[in-house]
Amino acid sequence: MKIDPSIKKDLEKRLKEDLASRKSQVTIVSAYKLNSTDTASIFKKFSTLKKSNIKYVVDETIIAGYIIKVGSKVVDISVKGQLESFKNLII
Amino acid sequence: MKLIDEYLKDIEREIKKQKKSVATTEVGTVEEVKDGVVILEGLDNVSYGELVEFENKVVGYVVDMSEDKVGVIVLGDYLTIGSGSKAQALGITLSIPVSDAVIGRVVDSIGTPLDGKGKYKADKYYPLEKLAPGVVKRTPVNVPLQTGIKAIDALIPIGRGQRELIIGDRGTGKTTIAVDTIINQRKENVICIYCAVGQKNSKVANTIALLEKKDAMKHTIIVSAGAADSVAMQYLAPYAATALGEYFMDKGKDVLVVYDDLTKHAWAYRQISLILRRPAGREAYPGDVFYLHSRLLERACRVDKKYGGGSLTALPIIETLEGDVSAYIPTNVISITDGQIILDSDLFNSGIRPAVNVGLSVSRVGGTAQRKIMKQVAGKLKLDLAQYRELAAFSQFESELDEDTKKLLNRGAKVTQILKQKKNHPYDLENQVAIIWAITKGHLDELPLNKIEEFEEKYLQDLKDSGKKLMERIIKNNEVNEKDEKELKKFITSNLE
Repeated sequence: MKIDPSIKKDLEKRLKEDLASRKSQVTIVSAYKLNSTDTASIFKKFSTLKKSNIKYVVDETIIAGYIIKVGSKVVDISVKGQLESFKNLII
Repeated sequence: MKLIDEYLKDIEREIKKQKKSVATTEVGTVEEVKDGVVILEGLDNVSYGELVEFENKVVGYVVDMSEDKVGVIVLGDYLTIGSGSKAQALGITLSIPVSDAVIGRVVDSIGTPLDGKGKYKADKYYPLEKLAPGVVKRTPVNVPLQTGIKAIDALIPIGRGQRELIIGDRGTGKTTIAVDTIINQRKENVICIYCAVGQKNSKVANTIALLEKKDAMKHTIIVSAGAADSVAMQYLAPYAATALGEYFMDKGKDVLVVYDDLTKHAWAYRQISLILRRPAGREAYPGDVFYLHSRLLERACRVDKKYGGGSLTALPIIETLEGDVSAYIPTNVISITDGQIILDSDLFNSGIRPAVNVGLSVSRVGGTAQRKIMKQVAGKLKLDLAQYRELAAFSQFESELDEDTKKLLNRGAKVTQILKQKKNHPYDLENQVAIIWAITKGHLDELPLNKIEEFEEKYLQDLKDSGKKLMERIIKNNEVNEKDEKELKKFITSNLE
């Protein structure tokens, strides 16, 4: 397919931006819908978190606490995660 | 309910007091599961050679990384891993637990016991992949490794720290030579590691039973990745065996590692590479199949006394098809090693066992390590055999042979006969010296060929019964002097009748 090189360049740029934003996408999973005081305490604890580009997900199965995902990095401070690791410890 | 309130308060206080740091983990998602290989998405910050753990506690080993995907070989059961399941990076490189307690055990490529005797105590963890010792740490090979096989100790001597390839068709006695060498280390203070790659489990069981029967398991470790185990385990087994060996080498001990066999190891690696879609080269092997073996065998070395002075001798085994030593993998390994013992199926079938092809086999560094006494008696042997080979082919067309030629032919036939040896009966240095001395001095020239075996048995038994002092003296002096010669001759003539 013949494409104008300038379009291709633009597309490439766009793709890179898209990938970068996907990589820096922050997902916060919690057991209930978070209010502003909750989010403020999270940002206080994790000062490096970017406040933009955040997706909030509610998952009741984690019981309490949060799971914070940035790209492939995961911080699991949910009760479910703790219980899992405790289970691994005793079995 | 007051009690409960107090209890809850206690817990609250505990939690508040505790300053728990949160750990960040690297997580990936399984995209594809192939034979023993899993492709993961995510794991952006994982490094090559790192371990990852799947949800079902099976561990994997990172061997491939592309822009957005990670290829992992699974060390264990990959059938329970489904696409979409999570995997977590463990942040450690693949290592094997090592300690003195592993001697006499049977383990797999990651140190899991296979003999049902439970876990062994780990003293340290040694990485499977390690750079070979550099030039500074090494010293030339100068101590012999007695294999207990006459043909090898006399003609193709192996030194401690050498890499000597054993190569031949199936069923020509490659494993027998390696196992006999292990059996012969009973009194030599060498720790042996037998690494079975892609072998039938029944064959490994036989080998273990044999070593136990010969009282050789006390200094031996078996690392086994059978034909039914995953290719990942087969691929890692030789590196695991070497890591175990390096632990003892670092303690200043002499170690012997047998890799049985590297052909199947190359097959396992080929399978992994093809599944990972790496470009295939000759015979569909990947481009780095040479490096696969060179980085393994380069770890064999003799360490300088300043750095501990241990050694690691490698006896890799390669199986050829129809004696073709110029195939891809055989030529690779021949060029890496310090010599090769070539086993010939024709010799084997004509009853010459061990079927060592003395003409083609070489040892590039073992000569300097050979005992002086052996050099003295075996020097003539080499010449006799070389002349015999030259004449044997040629003399078939001649009807009339002169006396000298007849003599040479006779001597050659006798020497060939003497180099035969029963399976699993390694010879002491004394016995080797005694019998080789007898033949090279021409004392057996008059004896008919079929009587040689009988004579050998009688003669060596006699020496054992009443010539112990003489042999001890010869070994101690490292030479057969005139007085010893006379005494030895007496033993020979008395047993010739």
